Amino acid sequence: MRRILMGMLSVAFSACTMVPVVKEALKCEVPAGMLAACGDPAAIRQGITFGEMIDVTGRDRDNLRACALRHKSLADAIAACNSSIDRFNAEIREINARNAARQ
Amino acid sequence: MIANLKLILGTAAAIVVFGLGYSLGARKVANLEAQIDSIKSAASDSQAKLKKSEEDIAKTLKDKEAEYAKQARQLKTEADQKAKDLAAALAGANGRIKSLQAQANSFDAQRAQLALDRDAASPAGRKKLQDEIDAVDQKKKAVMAKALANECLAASVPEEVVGPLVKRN
Repeated sequence: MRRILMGMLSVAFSACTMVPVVKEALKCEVPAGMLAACGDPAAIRQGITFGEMIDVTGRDRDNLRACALRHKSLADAIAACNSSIDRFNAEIREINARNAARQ
Repeated sequence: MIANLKLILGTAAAIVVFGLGYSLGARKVANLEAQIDSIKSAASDSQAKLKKSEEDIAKTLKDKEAEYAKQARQLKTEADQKAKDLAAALAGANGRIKSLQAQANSFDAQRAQLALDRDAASPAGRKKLQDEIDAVDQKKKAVMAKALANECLAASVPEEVVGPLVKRN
């Protein structure tokens, strides 16, 4: 009796197949260079001359420009990433809708 | 004999019941298999789209990184050049002050000569010479303002003005 039962079970389970399931989410791994924080403004000391002040201001302006460029590039990259993810999600919704219509 | 007949009929009935059950079961399994195929196809399709999206994102980010690196290099080149120009301009302050001072001296000499000429001139010519003196005075004033601005570069910013900025550091 046990042998018959084992035989029936093995025949029954042989019909089972592995159905792949999509679980991974898309990642947006922005280049590390774009994630660098903005630097602090240059230090100003007592007794600084007007000439040195112009120099400090110039350096701060350059750092601000570099930071603004990095920020803009980061924002662009994230926007592009989000756009790709939106496209992917729309495609997945379409697949799901097609699949639901078949059932 | 009757026992054999019962066995035959019983077996036949069992085969019929088994056949009916198999047929019914097979039909249900066929439906399930079709559903599984559909799910597998959808999963495979979505996996392919996921892979393509990942590749698209990787390429987009790589392009953005290259674009950013190019712009950052250009910005740094410009900043370095500006820093050099500024350093040269600041270092040249004393030279400019000397040059402006020389111009101011020249205007002084011109003015002195014009004043002599004016004093010796007729009343009608005095007005014209005085206008020339006024023009020279204006030019000297402008030159002295430039010299003063250059001298200011070496002067300290008043403590009261720079104090709040120092405290913020």
